[in-house]
Amino acid sequence: MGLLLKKELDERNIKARISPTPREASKSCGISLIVNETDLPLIEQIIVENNIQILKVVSLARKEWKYRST
Amino acid sequence: MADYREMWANLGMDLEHHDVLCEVLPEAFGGIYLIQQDRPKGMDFYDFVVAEIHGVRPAEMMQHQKEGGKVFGTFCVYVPDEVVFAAGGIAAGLCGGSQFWVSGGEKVLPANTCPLIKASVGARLDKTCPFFLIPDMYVAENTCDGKKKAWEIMAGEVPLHIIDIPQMKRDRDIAAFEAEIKDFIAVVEKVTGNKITAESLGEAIKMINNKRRALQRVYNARKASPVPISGKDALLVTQINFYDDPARAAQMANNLADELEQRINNGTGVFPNNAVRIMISGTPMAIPNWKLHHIVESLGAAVVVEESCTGTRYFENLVDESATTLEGQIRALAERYMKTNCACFTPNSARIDDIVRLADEYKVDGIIDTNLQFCNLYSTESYLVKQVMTEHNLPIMHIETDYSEQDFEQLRTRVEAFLEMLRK
Repeated sequence: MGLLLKKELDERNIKARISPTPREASKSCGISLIVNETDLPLIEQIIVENNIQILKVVSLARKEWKYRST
Repeated sequence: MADYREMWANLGMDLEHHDVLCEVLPEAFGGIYLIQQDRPKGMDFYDFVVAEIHGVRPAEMMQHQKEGGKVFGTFCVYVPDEVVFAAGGIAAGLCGGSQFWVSGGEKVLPANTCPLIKASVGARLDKTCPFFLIPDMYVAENTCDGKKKAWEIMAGEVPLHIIDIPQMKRDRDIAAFEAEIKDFIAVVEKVTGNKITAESLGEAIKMINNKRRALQRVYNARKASPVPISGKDALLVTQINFYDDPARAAQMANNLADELEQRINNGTGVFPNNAVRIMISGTPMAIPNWKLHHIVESLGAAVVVEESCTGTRYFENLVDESATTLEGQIRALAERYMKTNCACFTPNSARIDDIVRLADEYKVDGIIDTNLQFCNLYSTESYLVKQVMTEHNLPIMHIETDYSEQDFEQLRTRVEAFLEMLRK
């Protein structure tokens, strides 16, 4: 479903990055899309129009990435 | 977003401990990969695989087992995957690249063991990696003393077959490896219950060769300036190829190569034209070890090639596809695999010749020869590597490191000084 939404967003030139799910969103390892908040109303419309199942939308603060080993 | 927790529980995984890794991955991947600009669209597939790193491929492997198939976990580029796939099995690379698993390995291994071995043993013993719990058999080898002894510990956990890799490259050594492949075929046939025929082995040889050709295309694109893909992204492609379905892996790498070739035609890249071009040579970087690439590229230089088992050694040299008998195919496999230049061989001057050749092909400005901490073989060989590179006027530095964050700033300072010297 995440890949389906990514494809739809790519076709409309809406920026999205595939990411492991941040902990703020869920404890279940899996795929998430990171998008700009300003694109959210349009993305939510695309989700409804294409009947794409998502778990939830979570707002993340922009942060300075620092190296962290896995 | 799939929830794999039930699948992991059924595998007997330690979910609570595993959750620590799940917690770190998004931030580590975000900070190393997602901050990059202008990444090729073809990387979406690989990002997806990382996002579902312990879910999507393990689920496929378990489905294969449900349908009666067998899974073989492997640790080295000398294991001929062709044999496993020819018998209808799945071969998947198991090397551990995470600091998270190291402490688990340290419970049973000496402290002066390399992090790759510690992580691999820890991932199995701590039950925190599905890839280590799924295989019906591990296929190991004796490419270093650390591994040899580690397998004796692992053998108490899972059925294990060891391929005896010759340590020299005389004709009789190639013949010895041919005999090892024959033994391996017998083992794989017994485990899978399937007979390997000239037809099935021929198909498997073509399939794995196609993956090698696709990876070579991606690497060929890295010879261009400006370079159309970062070293970090190219490394991720190779790392995922170790355990992905080979036919799909070839398709995805070819899709990516199409895009990179288009970028070259358009003159677009991910680093400026004048960016310093670096080769990293030495020991493998198993997923998710992205440390050195991240240091180099965050300092504005591009890693354009890896002379390592997670680089050119993985895909250079094809198996001759012309043989039509099992005997001929086994000989062709032995000849191809014995062309791989690992520091476990003596002498290993062909590896040093490879580094000189790659420096020319990829137009590198400098070489970082690196080895995982306590890797005696590559560490010792670095002396001769440096000697020959100096003769060729190729700037080189040597780095020994592990998976931890502890030496990150120190390494950054050293790499920065090396890059400054190259820029003058």
